[in-house]
Amino acid sequence: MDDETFLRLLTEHEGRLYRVALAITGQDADAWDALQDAVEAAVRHRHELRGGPRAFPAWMQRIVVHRCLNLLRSRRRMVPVDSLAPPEPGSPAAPQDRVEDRAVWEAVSRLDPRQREIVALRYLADMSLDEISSYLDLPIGTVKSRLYRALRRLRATLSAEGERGALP
Amino acid sequence: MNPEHVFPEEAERLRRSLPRWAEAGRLPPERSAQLADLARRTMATPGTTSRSSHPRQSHPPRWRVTAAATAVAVAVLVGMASLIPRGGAWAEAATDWLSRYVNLHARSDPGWAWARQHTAFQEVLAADRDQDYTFRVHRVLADPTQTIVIYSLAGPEPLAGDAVPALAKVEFNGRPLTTPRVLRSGVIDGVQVGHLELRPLPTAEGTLRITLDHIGAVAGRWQVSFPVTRVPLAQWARTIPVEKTLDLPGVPLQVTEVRLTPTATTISVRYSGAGPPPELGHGPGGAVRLLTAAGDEVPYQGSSRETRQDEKQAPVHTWQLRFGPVPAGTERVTLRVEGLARPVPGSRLVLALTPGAVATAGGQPAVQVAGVQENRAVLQWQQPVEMPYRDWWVLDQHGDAYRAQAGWEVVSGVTRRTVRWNGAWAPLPQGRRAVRLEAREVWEQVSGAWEVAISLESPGRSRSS
Repeated sequence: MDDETFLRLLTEHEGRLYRVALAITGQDADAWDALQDAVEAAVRHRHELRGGPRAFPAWMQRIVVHRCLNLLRSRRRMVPVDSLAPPEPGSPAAPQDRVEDRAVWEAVSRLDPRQREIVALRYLADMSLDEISSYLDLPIGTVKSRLYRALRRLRATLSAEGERGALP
Repeated sequence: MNPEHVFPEEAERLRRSLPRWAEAGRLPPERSAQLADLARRTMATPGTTSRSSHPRQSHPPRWRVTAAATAVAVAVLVGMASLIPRGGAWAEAATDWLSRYVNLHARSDPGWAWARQHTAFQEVLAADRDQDYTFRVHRVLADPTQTIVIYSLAGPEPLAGDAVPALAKVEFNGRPLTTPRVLRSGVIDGVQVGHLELRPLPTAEGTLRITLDHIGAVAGRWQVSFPVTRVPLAQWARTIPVEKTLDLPGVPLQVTEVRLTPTATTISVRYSGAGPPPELGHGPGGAVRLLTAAGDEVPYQGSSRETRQDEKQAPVHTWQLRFGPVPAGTERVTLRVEGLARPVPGSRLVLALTPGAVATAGGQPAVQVAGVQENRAVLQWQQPVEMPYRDWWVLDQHGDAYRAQAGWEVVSGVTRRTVRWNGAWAPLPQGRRAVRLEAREVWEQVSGAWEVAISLESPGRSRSS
C-alpha cells in the first residue's frame, strides 16, 4: 500500500478511532494522546499491514486499543483529578449522530470508569471477556461483575430516558 | 450466569449503537490536520524516535501533583542514605518520572502511600542492556506480604503495542521464586515504566535476580541482580493465627491466618476436602470482599493458591487472599465470599464421538459434538456456564483412556452465546480408535454469600463467635 493511500485511510477512519479511544479511556486528553501514539506506531509498522485497504480499519483499531490499554494499565486503580467530568467536547453531539446512538453513548459515558472501560472493550473493540480479563489483568469474575453492574445501570438509565422521550 | 444473558436487550443495544456512534465520529479540522501532519513527518523520518523528532500537540497535565506530595517524593528520594548509596547519571535522570510514578499509585493505593511516606522504597541501581534495549530496576519495596519492583525500559524504537517484559526467571538467593507475579506497565513522561508484583520473599534478606527473555517483540536476554531486605518493615508486620470456618455449601474452608502490614493484608484460607478446590467469587456479581466493622471495604488485590500434601499424602490447597492495608485501629474484619463454582460430586460427562451426539451431566448445559476429525473434535454448548466440563479424556473401543488437550472460545450470537470446545489428543496406539469423550469433572455455579468474622484485637487465637 502506498503512503498516500495509507494517509487517506487514516483520515477516513480517524473520527471513529478517536471515539473508540474516548470510550475506552473516558478522557479527551487521553484519547487524543492514545490516538497520536497509535498513529505513530501504525506509520512505523505500516509495511506489516496485510490485506490491503480492507484490512486497515481492524488493524488500526487494534493498535489504538493497545495504546488505550497501556494507558489504563499504567493508571490501574487511579482516579484522575478530573475523571468525574463528562467527556469533553472533543465529541459533541453531532448532526450525523442518530438520536438513539447518542443516548446510548451518553448513558455509557456516565458509567463508573471501570465499568465503561469494560463496555467499550466488549462492544467497540469486540473483545471477549477472557481477553478483557487478560489485557486488564483482572480476574474473570471481576470482569463479569463489572459488566453486570454496567448493564444493570444502563437498563435503568435507558429505561428512564425512554420514558422521558429522546434526549435533545 | 453471563451478564449478557441477564440483560440481553441492553447488550444487544450496545452492540448496535456503540459501533454506529463510533462510525459517526469526526475530528475537528485542526486535529485532523495535526494527525495528518504527524503521520507525514513520521513517514519522512523512519528510524528516529518520534517523541523527540515529532512534537505532538500537548495537553494540560492530567495528574495534579500537589506541592506536599512533591515534597514528600523528593524527601523519599533524598532520604535514602541509610540504604544503598545513590549514584549514576541515569539514577539522577529517573528521579522526575519515578517520583511521579510512585505518586500516581500512592493516590489510590494506601500501601504505596504508606511506603512513600516511610521511605520504604529501597533504591536499586541495576541495569542490563541487550539488543539495544536497556532494562533498569529503580526501586524495590519488600515487606512480609509483597515485593514490588519498579523498572523502566528504553531502546532505540518505541516499543510496539502493550510491550511488557517477559519474565524468564525470578530467583531469590539462587533459588527460583515460584510465587505468582504480575507485571504492570505503561508510559509516563515518555518513559516505558512498570512494576512487578511478587509475593513476599521467603527470607528477610538476600539477592533478587530477574531474567527477561523478551521485551515486547524483541527477543534477547536481560538479567539484573540486587540485594533486597524486608527487615525495615518487619517491625510493622503482625501475624494473627485464626481458627475459623468459612462455611460454603459443600465446601468447608478454614481461615488459618491473617497477616497485616501497613501496605497489604493477606488472609490464608485452606481447603482439604476431597476433589478439586472450589473457585471463589465465581459467577455474575461474584466477589471476594474484606469488610471492616465500620462497613468499609478493603480493596481486593487478587489471590494465589498452592497445593501441598499433608502427612497422609492428601492434597491441601491454600489460598492467599490479598487485600489492601486494613485501616489502623480496626479490631474486626469480615471475609465475605459471593458466588463460587464447585465440582458436582460423582458427576461425569460421557459423550459418543459422533457428529451430532448430545449428552449432559450434573444439571449442566447439554453438550453436542459439532465435528470429529482424526485426533480432534469440536464440541459446543450454550452459556451461561462457560466451563462446566473439565479434565477431558478420550476413550477407545476397549475403554482405555487417553488425556485430551483442549482450548475453548465463546462465540457470540444475537441473543445467545455458545462455548466452542476444541480438543485434540495424541494418536492412539495401532488398532485403537477413539469412540468416546469423557469429562471427569462437572462443575456448577452456586450463588450466595458467605462470611466469617475475624478478630484482629490480639496476636493470639481469635475466639469463636
